[in-house]
Amino acid sequence: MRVEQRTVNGAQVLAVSGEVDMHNSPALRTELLDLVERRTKAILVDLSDIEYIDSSGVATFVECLREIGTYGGFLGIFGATGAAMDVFEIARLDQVFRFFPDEGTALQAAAAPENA
Amino acid sequence: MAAGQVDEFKLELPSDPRYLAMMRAVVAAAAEAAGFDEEERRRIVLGLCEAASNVIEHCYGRDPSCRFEVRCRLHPDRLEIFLRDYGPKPDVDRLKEREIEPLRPGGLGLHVIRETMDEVEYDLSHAVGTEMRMVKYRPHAGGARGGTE
Repeated sequence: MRVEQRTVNGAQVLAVSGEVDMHNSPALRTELLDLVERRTKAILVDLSDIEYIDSSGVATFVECLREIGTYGGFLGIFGATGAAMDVFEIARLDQVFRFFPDEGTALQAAAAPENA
Repeated sequence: MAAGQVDEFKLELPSDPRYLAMMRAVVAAAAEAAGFDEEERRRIVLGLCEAASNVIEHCYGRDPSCRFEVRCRLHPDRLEIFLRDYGPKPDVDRLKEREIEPLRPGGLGLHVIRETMDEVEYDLSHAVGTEMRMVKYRPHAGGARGGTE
């Protein structure tokens, strides 16, 4: 698993690639919760290069979603297809998270007045 | 695979999450050889990995010095996977199907296993440990489900 962070138009973009399982999901959790602790207004997770993710990885996003909601932050996921979407759909979380096809649409949503 | 032939192999792995990637690679390759398409292979690997993660987490308490076994039987119409551990037996109530609460952390693993596999059974009859049996049928394989060989 690799996690790369960058800031785009005030949003924090996390590109998560490779395989996410119980071995490395704690590292992903640390990065996400660190952003939440700093009350990052918008976190956008890029899953376009994910090869595998299981419920341990999804659980970190669930925890992040709950925490970011406490201060009105925005969590969006973009680029998720195939392997990245399987577990979200099976866990019935595809209607809980906000998914976007690409970074541009995710950034637009994060900048929308109701999320800004 | 020759008609009617059943191939079998077994992996014995440390209860260390670092080995889950290797297990996934081997079982994905076996599922491909058995004729499963990419989506089905992903689901097989996901279900097995959730089961193995449960063994590491709940059965062995993340103690990496324990071991578990993955035995695969490749039938013409299905892939049968046995996951054997040697730890404390699980709470039977915990294994029962229940409605998932998506936003509650934890507990998703068993749901994912049931959703990704066609059959899931637990053999608690061993003197030590548990053996989980998971079956995935190959789409369009022909023949009735539930047959024995």
